[in-house]
Amino acid sequence: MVIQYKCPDCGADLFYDAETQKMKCGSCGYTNDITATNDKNGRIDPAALNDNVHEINGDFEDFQEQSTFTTFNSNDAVHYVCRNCGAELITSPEVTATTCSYCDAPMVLGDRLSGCMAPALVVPFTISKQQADEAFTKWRKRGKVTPTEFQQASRVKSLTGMYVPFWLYDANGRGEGHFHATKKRSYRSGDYRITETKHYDVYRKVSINYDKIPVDASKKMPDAMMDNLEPFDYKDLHNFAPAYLSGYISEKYDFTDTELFPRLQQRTNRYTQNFLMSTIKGYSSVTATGTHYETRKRNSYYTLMPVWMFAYQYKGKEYMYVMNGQTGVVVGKPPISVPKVLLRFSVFTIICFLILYIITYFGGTIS
Amino acid sequence: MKKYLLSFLVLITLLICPSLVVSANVTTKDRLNDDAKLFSWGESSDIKDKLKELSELYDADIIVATTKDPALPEVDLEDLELGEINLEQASLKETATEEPDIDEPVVEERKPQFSKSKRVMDYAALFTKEEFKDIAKQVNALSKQYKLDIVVITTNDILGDGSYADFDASLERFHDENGYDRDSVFLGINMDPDNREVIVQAYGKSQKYIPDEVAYNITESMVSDLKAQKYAKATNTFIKRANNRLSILLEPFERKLPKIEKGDYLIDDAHILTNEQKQIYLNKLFKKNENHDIDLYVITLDEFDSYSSLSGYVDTLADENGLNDNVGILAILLGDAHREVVMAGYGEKNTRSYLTDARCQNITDSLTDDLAAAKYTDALDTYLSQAGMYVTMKELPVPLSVILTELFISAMLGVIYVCILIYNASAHSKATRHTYQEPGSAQVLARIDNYTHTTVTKTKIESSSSSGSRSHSSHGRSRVGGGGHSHGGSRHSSGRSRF
Repeated sequence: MVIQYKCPDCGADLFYDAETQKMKCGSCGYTNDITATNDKNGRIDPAALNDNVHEINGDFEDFQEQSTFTTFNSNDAVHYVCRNCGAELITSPEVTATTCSYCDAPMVLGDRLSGCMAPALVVPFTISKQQADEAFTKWRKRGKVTPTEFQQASRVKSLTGMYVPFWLYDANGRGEGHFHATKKRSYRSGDYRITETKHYDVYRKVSINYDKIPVDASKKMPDAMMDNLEPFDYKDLHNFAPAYLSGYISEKYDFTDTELFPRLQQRTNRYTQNFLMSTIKGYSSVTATGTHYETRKRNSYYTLMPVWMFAYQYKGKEYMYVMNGQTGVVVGKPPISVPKVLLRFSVFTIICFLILYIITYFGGTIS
Repeated sequence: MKKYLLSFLVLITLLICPSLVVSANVTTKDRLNDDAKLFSWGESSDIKDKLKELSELYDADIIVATTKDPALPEVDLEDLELGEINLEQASLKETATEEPDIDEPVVEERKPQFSKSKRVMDYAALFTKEEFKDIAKQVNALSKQYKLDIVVITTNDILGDGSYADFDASLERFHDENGYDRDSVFLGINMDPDNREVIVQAYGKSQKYIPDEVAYNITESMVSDLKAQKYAKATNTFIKRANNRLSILLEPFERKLPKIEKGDYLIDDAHILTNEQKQIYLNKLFKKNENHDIDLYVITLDEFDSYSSLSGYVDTLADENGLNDNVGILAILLGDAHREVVMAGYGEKNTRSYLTDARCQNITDSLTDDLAAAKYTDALDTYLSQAGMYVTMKELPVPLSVILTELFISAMLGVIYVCILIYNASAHSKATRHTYQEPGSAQVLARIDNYTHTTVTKTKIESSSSSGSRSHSSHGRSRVGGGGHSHGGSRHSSGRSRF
């Protein structure tokens, strides 16, 4: 099933406009709110969203592992026909939204977004293609150690707006640890410096709830890059509607929430440890003697996040950059210019040296 | 004419030093003995009346004698020098009750009331006539030369009725009460059988030149002679050494060092070099000094009582000779008691950039080993190469090691800076725990802080010392041997030895 939105006035294709956050007609300028075009395809269990259970005082085990939708991968249908031109669309199985390769009309593959495959939430694009291009150019120029050529020449091979599948987890983190801590006091007595060290056995057990930690579920997007796109602003987190995808490319998740849970755990355990350590205060030294952290999932939401993808050609190599389609943060390793690095290093070193030298020159000799 | 001259002379003699006036046969009733027949009868009775009046007034016999013996006036004139200053005080204080011999010192057992005019008082009768005369002559000559009093006192008890705590204090009081010069130098020899001691005291500005340890050294050098009862020899040692010290004060260059002309780069008063060596090093110094603005000098000394003021001595020397700009002086003192080496630089530019305090100290430090081992030529070679290098090479305002350290630190900072730049070239996640933490959900379920035990460590604190520096002249000083130091605060310096 292909969903294509048509302008009620002129019949042209409607697509999602990032700037106005409305459906817009490219021909006559007609706009329409998303809610109006929402075909209620993306349903969400309101109870799951309003899960305000404060179970932080010991009934952790009672948490029910619950995904908003159970997930499976059974859709092998790859045969779609463009309603505009009748051309046959050949897509890879994970694509859920694309444009017709012949007439460029936005196509949303509705059957891949329904049932268990329906995303629960979406953060729509707020940065348009033009804005993304400008921001990327700006970012390239801001680089302090990137080659001048990279900064100046615009060699963007392709710029694609894509909704990347994420799992947003609600989770509870628990942590406990035994520590050996010391308090040091030093004072002078006659010709001696006396250091008094008090030793303590410290134990902490903490609980902390996390809200919608994103973990990308796309095989093709590098995890590190996706992590670095964070944070997304959840004030724009909407219930999913296929209309948001009109005009963009979208894919369905490659990993289920259960498969991605270990990646979540890495993060939450780190966060929990961070919190646990922050509760140990007033000591001169703290050494862990035994710690244990664990994370339980409370809920997970299949969510689409907006990402601008740049393919940039520089010196025969293709660099890939991604931009957070909501906040404009650019992620990706730019080429590094060795002469620029050396110049920066030299200038900085000379300035530091001059400052130090002036200090010692006027401040008398050090040695 | 001749007659009147002579009478005038005798009258002066009478007035100035009545107790020393000599007659062959004089009685208290007949105070004028005119053997030379100089006065007429009328004059004679007139003089007699006046003498009687004066004698009664001062409760002392005042006697006038004339003689044809040719030896007498010479003696008179010699001793007259003893007191040519305060006539009134002298005449008032004199209490001679018996006829003194012109050559003999005044010997008194009473509580002393001395005349300022006297600089040698041998109450313990340690000197023979000739010795006394010789000592008095030397002391007077030196006192005149240095415009201060050098006083020698010997005694059998501690000068008086025992109301003084010690000999030192009694001498000090004696100095105060008898109007001696503010800058006097005193030698006291106490022959009290219970407490034989010798003291050297220096007052006023003499203190600077005869500080405590020098005074002590002088007394020490006298002890052996005093034990052997060679009192005059011991006293001569005192006079010689006091003279050595004071000569620095007034005429430093007449005694030890001739006027230094440009080109006198090597002055070897300690005779550490053969003539041949001397010529070689003089040539080397010439060559060195030709090539740069700063002139290097070498001065060796053997007689110098105070190591503590060797640098001051060098300062004076440089100053007096106008060697106060672009000059470096190495002074090597090779005395019996003190051996010391001082390197001094003069001239503002010089001491700031070339012969700085630190460099001068480096020079003396590197010379001490060779000097202590008497390898003088080695030491001079070292001096020539080291000082020669210093005078051609400006000292960096900041030491090289510090500059290198600073460069290293800067480079490290530079590396850190560049690393940060490269890291920041691509964005990194700004998400933290707080980004996703559900507000109010972070809770501590259990909290235990158990105190177990205390450990205590003790470390000794090393104290650090600081040093000052001078402007316009730089010094390095190393002691080759011997030691001691002068202390301030006392109004005189003194050294004392028992024998």
